[in-house]
Amino acid sequence: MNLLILHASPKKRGGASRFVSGLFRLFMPGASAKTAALRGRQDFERALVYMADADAVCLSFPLYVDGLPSHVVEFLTLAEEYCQTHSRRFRLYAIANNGFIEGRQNRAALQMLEAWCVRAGAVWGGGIGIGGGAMLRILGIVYPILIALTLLQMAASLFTQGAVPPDLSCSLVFQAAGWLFFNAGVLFAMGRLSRAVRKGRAMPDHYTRVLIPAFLFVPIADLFMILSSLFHGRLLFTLLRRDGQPFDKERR
Amino acid sequence: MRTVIHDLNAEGLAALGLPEEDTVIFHADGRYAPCRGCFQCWLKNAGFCVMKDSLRHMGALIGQSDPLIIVSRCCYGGYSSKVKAVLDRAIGTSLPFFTWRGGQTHHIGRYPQRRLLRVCFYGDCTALERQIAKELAERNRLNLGYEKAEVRFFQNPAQLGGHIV
Repeated sequence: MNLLILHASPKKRGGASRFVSGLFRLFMPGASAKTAALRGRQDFERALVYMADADAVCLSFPLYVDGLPSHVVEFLTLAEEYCQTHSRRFRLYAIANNGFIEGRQNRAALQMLEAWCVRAGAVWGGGIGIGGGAMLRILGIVYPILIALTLLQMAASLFTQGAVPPDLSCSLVFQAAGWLFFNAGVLFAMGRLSRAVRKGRAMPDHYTRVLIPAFLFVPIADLFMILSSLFHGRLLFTLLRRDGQPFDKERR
Repeated sequence: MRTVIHDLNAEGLAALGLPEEDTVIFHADGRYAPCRGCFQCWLKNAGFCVMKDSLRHMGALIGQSDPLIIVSRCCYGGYSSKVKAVLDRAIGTSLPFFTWRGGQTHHIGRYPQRRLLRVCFYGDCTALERQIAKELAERNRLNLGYEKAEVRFFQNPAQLGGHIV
């Protein structure tokens, strides 16, 4: 089975879609898999060439304004024509992620892919919708740093004192367990998806999220936005302003 | 102010017979860049995009549009890529901060709540695609800050005339 994993974040670096597609690749050890970016028009031709050999395609994308990002819609229009003219019939799976906490907010976007399969003659294999994708990505940066620092402290203690203090070992266990817990829903969904891909079966769409209660998610996400804007040299009140620029009414 | 965002050609637009007064007509012609996901419209600018093209202030336009009328070819139950690029570049309509609406998290609006979002899809549209389109419009209503969403379907652009405003 040849698997093609397309990550469709338009970002040059990082992005939750790239992160979750990388995570999904870890669930497919031994599989013949190609991973390619679908950032924009410059990637369309290569993606279509890769599609020609694929038995299964997994599209990882961010939710933009409640649907597929515009460049993904453009690509799908081309791919529909390609699949019809080349009689390509692969199975399409998808991993959608969005910035809100509810994975279910990805439902319309996943259904659009199902509708695309009907038109293109492909087979819809099902998808997972992940809520709090950006937060998972950030946790995926923060936790490895924390764990690496703890490991460094443990190594230093072992070198200088000849033993590792028990509190450091406890910290390491708590950090690893915490990271695992926040990702548990996504890991479970990835397991289901990888099983379906391996067996060449369809699965019902599955919705999951970062395992943080919504009442905590909102203030944490808001705080992150404030800190990010400070990093860009902006204060909170700047973010709240309205764009005073009049729109060019002549443009038709 | 009424705004019509459409992906029709000149002939299709003329057939709509749109009034000139108090109406902004935006042709989604694809001569602009898609959103690059940098979120600088939220984190650096007051809702406007860092890319200097015709969509730079689209957030402000949509934020002041009532009704907002979107005319798009139906693509798998969603908007055509040209129309979707316009909406993707307009997230400055809302603030980066979160709130709860309709039992789910959404962004807080930057502009006051408006009354009507009307979406007119044209082209071949299956039953599944119609269902998706209705759900999409409802979700857009919540996120763009409108009280009511209407969805209309047309077999071809020629049928749109007289049914848009």
